[in-house]
Amino acid sequence: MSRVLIVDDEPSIVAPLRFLMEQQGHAVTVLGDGADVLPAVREQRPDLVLLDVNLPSRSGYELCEDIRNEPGGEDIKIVMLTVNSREVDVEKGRALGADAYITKPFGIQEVIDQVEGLIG
Amino acid sequence: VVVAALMEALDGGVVVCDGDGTVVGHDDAATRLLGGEEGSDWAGTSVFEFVDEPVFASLRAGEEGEDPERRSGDGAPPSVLASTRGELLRWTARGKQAGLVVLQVQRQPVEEGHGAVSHRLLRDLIESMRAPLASVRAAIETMTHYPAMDAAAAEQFHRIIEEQAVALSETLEAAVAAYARFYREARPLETVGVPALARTLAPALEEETGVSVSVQAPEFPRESQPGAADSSGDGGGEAGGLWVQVDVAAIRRVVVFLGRRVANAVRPEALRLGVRRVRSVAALDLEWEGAPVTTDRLNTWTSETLSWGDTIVEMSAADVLDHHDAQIWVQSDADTARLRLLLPLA
Repeated sequence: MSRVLIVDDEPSIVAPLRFLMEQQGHAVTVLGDGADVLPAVREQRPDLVLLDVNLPSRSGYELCEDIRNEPGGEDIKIVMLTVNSREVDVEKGRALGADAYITKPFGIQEVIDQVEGLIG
Repeated sequence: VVVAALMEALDGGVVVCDGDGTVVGHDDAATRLLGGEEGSDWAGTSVFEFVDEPVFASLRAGEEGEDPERRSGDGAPPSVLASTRGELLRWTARGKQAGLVVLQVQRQPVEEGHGAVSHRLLRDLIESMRAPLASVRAAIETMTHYPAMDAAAAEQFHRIIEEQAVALSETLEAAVAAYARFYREARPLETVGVPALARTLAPALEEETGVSVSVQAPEFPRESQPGAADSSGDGGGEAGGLWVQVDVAAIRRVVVFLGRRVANAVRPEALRLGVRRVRSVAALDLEWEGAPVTTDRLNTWTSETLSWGDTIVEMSAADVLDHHDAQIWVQSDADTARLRLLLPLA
């Protein structure tokens, strides 16, 4: 069973994401505030983080960079989920260490495929 | 003499060079824009002191037709933004005269232009719709993929769809309101006589509807001025200064749009643009012989988003009418039906 951390402050998108990840057999933790992410990463060592870009406290971009700078953080798969769809946004996400970048709105199969491709 | 004539004819700064970039002449405005002392004479020096050689080559090539990409779709002259001594200037090639290259120099404002605002509003709209749309889509697809999910989960997803649909509607309304505010600031109204406006509208209306369009406008005294009193005295006369303040392009858009809807709905043999004064306002009537359209139908039309050219974000006819403090409704008498557009007099 893989550990998936969902970081998104919007309950309406968290609910289906949590449901999907649980259906795939993953253990899911949800956080809504960027400030809570690094402690959770240190404590739980997730295999994959589904990371929204627009978060309270800290942006997903910053968190992505922070996670990568954590000891062992390079092993954590990071999938950014965002409304920012411009090529520059995607490039920024990748440059800061995201393994995948999914633009909202997305098809659930795309999320499943990306997640399973990274940790399946 | 040629150089002097060129500099006289163009606004802003003008620099005239030969084909190699040697300055032949320049005006005082160019001296100021390019940071020179008053009375400086740069004749004989190189224009590359002020603008990079590739920029000059690009402007010259565009003007000579060697580089068609340099010309915009509307045939505007080749123009390039370049930083000259730390200031952003627009250099525009204004043609070759007697073997001389004429360059116009203008200060480029750095504040956000209307196009940029429009672009930002569109981007904001798209990005603000993505999140609720993502929730709706994810909820629907999850329910579809897992039809056996328990009742509590299904209930939760139903609620998400409902709430996010409302959020989408509100986002859209907010975007329309933001664009309407922008539009009010961005599109100045100009004073025009309503008969002239009608004559301007008729060809576009005819072309778009495929129906012949006539104009029935009163005599319009040459001496009338905006704001002048009604010479007929009774307020309902045919003559008098029917001046209004409008965004001509927007009004044309609305009239053509509605004309097209009328043509499709009632198939009139002909359309007529009637101009008359109705007390203290001007009426522009889109008339036809035959059945009227219903008020409900007109309301539907006026709430539709207008499309025009390649403009991406647009407004409804109702928005344009609101911008003009105008009103429109359906009228009919005997055999004539009309959409009456009322515009306040200037």
